Amino acid sequence: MFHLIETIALHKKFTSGKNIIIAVEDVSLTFDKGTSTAITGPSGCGKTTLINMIGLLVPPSSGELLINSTSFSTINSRERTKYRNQFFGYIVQNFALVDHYNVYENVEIPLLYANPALNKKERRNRVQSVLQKVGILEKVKEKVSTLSGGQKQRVAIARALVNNPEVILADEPTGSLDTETSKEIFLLLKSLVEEGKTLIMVTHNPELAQGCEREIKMIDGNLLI
Amino acid sequence: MIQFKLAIKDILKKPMTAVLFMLQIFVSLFFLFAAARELLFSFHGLDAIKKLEANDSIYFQTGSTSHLNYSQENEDFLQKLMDSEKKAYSILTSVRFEGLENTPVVMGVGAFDEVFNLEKYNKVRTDSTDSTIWIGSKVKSVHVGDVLQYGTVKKEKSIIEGRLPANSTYILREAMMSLDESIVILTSKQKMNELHSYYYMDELMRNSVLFDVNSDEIAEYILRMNQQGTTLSPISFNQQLHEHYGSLYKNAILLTAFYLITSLFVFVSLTINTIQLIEQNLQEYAVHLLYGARLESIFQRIMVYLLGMIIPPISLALSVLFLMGSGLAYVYWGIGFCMIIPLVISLIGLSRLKSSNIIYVARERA
Ligand SMILES: Nc1ncnc2c1ncn2[C@@H]1O[C@H](COP(=O)(O)OP(=O)(O)OP(=O)(O)O)[C@@H](O)[C@H]1O
Ligand SMILES: [Mg+2]
Repeated sequence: MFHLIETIALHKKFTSGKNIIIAVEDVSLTFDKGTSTAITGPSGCGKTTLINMIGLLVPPSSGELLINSTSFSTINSRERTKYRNQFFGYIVQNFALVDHYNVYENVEIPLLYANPALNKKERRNRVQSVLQKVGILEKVKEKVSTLSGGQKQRVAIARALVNNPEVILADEPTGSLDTETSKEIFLLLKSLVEEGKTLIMVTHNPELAQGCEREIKMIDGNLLI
Repeated sequence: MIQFKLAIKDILKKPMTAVLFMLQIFVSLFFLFAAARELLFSFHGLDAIKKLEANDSIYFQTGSTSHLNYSQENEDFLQKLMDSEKKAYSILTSVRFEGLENTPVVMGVGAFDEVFNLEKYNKVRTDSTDSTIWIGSKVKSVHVGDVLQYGTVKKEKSIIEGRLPANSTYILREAMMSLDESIVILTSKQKMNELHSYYYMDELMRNSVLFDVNSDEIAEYILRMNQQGTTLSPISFNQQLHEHYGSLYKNAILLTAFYLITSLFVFVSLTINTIQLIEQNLQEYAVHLLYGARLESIFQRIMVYLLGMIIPPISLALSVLFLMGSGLAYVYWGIGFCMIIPLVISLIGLSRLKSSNIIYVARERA
């Protein structure tokens, strides 16, 4: 059976001084194209570490990660960069926007590294259409520091989408938003899944977790079955 | 190319920071170069002092300021020491070239070149019937390649061979003097006689310095002078050293300390400020890495950014120093020094952006 992403006994330990923290312990999971998955669990149970390993941002201590059935344990940095740029769209905690850039400049970042390279006009078209999609085209020239939380998250989503990735990795995308805005953002993410994108989302919000096709519960680095 | 544009944007983004940073580099470099210059001057002098000290040099105090009487025998004695044995030198400073009355002339006779580290500038003088002309690093009234005419009883023309390195020095009695502003003639006692006959012999004798000379020979020399009615008291350079040159040593040590402290201060503050500059941009770099930049691209961007901040003040400092007439050596020295810093510091900056960290850095609020 073909899976878009498969983790086999993915394991991560951190050593800080004398302490060894096992953040994720032998997690085996599969993700299929066009599905939505919520990862939930108490603080410190390893959700972020897991999603970062899947997104090639944190190297696993042991275990295998397969993307399109290709093993990623021995991948070189050039390949990894390419996947970061084109295969994954990251929505991280706190938005990770560049405050002194305007909306346009923030969303344009992934396009600066696109391969093959895009010219200025192509980049502008792509940025405008994605801003349209997330519904804040009218803010295109504003500095992001002047935006509300919900608007910032829309910019962050636009940036994650602009290079048309297969998989959207969202770490608490509604963490700092009020209930109403959270719902709006979640609906936006769901609409992307309907278009065929794959969503893997860490959340503390049970309502949003219920809204996903699948919920994976974690505790102390393990899956709760 | 994109990284280049981004780096330029980084500089223009905070113009005040850029200006202050550049100003800091300019001022520090300026002080550093100035300190280095003083230090070199004092080291050149100390070098000569060491030679004079090692050779047990002797110079003379004459009782009178009036004309000196001397015998042919004594003149021959000096000529032998200066020209063939290279155990003596003298310095004439009263010579002037016609039309160049405001440019000091230092005429080094005999072993002058050896004592003051100018041997290699004397290469043209193959035997004791030649002389060569050089100019100090700051002389403006004449140029390398100009032909000068000199001589009192016999005229001769010589081409100016080149410039001496900046901070060349010589010691005349108790004083350390610079050659930077002077026309310097390196010659022999025999050539002196040929050109000037006895005209400058008085000064030559008063300023002569003997080293490594047998004390009996010196005693005879003094005795013969006495017989001519001229009183000469020998002064040991080494004895004077402690009185007059001790302060030179002290100065050199103070200068060295000052120089080292200045360098350290400049290096530390430059490093801290540069790291701060990078820290300010680190979150942005991390965001770029997260969305597809390669570490090499960020390295390029940091390099362009730092070089863009560093090159203008260096160029300014160097051109000001150049206009003030300092030697070229500092230019290369300064450029080398300033290129190393951004390289080292970009590496420090990059180490903060290891792939396992970028997501945390990207999330930090700038
Ligand atoms: N870089 C790191 N160095 C050391 N320990 C780490 C590191 N990252 C995570 N940990 C530890 O690993 C464990 C899991 O952390 P992780 O961030 O994955 O939890 P989480 O489930 O995302 O928590 P939260 O809901 O609070 O975001 C924690 O004990 C954490 O302290
Ligand atoms: Mg987390």
